[in-house]
Amino acid sequence: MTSLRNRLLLYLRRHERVKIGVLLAPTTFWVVAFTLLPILIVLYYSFLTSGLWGMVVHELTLDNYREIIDPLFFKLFLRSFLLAAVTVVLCLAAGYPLAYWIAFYGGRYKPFLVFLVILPFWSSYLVRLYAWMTILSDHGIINSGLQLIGLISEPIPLLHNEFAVVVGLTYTYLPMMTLPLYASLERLDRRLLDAAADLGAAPATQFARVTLPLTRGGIISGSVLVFVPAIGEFLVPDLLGGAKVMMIGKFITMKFVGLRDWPLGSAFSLLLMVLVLLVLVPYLRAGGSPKAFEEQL
Amino acid sequence: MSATVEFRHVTKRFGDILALQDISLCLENGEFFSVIGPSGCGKTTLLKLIGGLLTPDAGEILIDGKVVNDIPSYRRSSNIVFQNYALFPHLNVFENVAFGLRLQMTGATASELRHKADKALGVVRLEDFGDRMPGQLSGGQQQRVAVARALVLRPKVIMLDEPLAALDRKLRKEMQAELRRIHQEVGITFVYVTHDHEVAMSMSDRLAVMDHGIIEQVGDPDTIYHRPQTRFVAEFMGASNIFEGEIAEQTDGARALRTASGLTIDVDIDPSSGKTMCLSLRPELIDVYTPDLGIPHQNQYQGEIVSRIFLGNAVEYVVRLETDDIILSRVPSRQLRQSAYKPGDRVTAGWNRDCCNELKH
Repeated sequence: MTSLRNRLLLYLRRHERVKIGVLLAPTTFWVVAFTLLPILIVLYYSFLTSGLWGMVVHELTLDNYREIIDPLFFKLFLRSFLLAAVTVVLCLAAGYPLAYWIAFYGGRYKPFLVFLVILPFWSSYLVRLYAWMTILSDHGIINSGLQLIGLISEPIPLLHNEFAVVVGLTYTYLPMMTLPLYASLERLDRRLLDAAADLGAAPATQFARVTLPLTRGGIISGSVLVFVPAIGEFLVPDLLGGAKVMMIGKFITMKFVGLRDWPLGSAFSLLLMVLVLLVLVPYLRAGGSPKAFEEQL
Repeated sequence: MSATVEFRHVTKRFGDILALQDISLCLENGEFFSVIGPSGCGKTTLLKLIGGLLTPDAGEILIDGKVVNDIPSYRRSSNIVFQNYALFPHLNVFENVAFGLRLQMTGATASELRHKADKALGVVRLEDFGDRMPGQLSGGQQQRVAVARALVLRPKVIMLDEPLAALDRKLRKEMQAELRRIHQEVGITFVYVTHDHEVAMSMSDRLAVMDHGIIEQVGDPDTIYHRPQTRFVAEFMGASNIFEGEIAEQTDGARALRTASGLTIDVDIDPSSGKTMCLSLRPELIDVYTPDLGIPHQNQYQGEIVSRIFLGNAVEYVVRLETDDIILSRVPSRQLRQSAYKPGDRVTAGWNRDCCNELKH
């Protein structure tokens, strides 16, 4: 007598396609339920009409799409793009040495140091941003410190400008850059550096010709992981940018929350998604091609 | 002949571990020199010291007559063929070979580079593989790229770290012959590090046997094989019989070694160190036979065959003598009768007295 379990296993073994289907089911469910479906809902909303008091009227229209061809939106997009790009560059500048140091000199403290990198995630994002507001304020530690040693007589405006936003974004997304960089540096075969030295490469040349190209995958994935959330970020510009700095994410939040115009907000969200994808396609191509993948191995 | 590489009392420590202990060694220009020993004996450390990937704690290393202790790896005229080949995975074969060239010949034209790199690829017979990526090559091909990458720089010395370890048996034989050919073609000093004594013997002009950070013996393959100086060398070069005992003068003036178990072995040696002595005796020098064959040997002992291993061209016997000494003997298969004994058979083990080799300690 074969048990039900055995019969089932036998069936799966004989039917390769069913087996693949069963194995892929959880992932498929996840992607459909939590990625595809929400996007479809947003897409549907973007064709609806907004009613009074933030109500949504289930009446299909193209009005929202007429409205988003808005020069302000594209200006904001460009602004946000630049701020996100600066953030990526700063995260790279800070994250690469950090990841390099942990991977090469961390020794047995490596797991602990990596833990330190992700430690900020354990506390509330909001609290951390408020902390930055305190640090950057006119009476914050930086301004009072500089005043104390007599470098400045008046507080310099550190908060509620683009500088504050870039600081906040860089601080928030640094771990997203550091971790993939650490992974690729950790995987880098040290013997290749020995080989490069043996073939006449001084340390700087070793880095430029071996380390850097072989960690390209980490640089690309880190950059994407920082850029995508940074461009759509709304809390940082809201808290640290104040009224003066507008970013695309904050703009969309205002449509949803402030104006309670969900259909228009949905249309803007989709436009942002499309624009970000267009920007990232060449970048992802460079990092996601099979060749680049092989190089990482 | 002048020395390409010279070690003068070189010591290297890793923490508390003494990796190399007062090593003095001279590598002649253009020779094929092997360093053999079990893993952890310090042979790779030796190689990294020549290459400059490590610096000695004491002593001097000279390349071409100049002390190179303080010269970093990237300014030394030595190149390593790494154990795992360490080819740059992001560069194709041509760029791998040209890597060092670009750094060495700053200002060289593209055609000069191409000419040199192609020539090196020609030496290892990979002319048409320049555009391939390392990941697309077989182990043997990768190995040859690694050799070409070192050769192309025309260093004073090329070091190979267990280069054949990752290859299958057939490929290993081929690469062995290939490396010999390349060595003869380019005339550069080769230092070959391996734990395989057979490969080392078949390829080298000279070899050094190492153990625990000490060079036990340096010499040509014949000497190392037939005249090991220490017990370690005798055992590392394939199993050997070792006897320890006291020298006794026989009535006829000849000398014999008397072991604690009661064995008396006639020897031909003037003991260099007092009355006690250690002998090594290679298995193929011991004959195993039955009395009816009438083989005359100066040393003959009765015993019983404990086990028999068929090796193809030879048969290996373990024989227990009446004194309970265990003896390993290898008899060529063409000795039809002698190679057909079975465990339990009563036999005589015999050898001539000039077969014994004196071990220094």
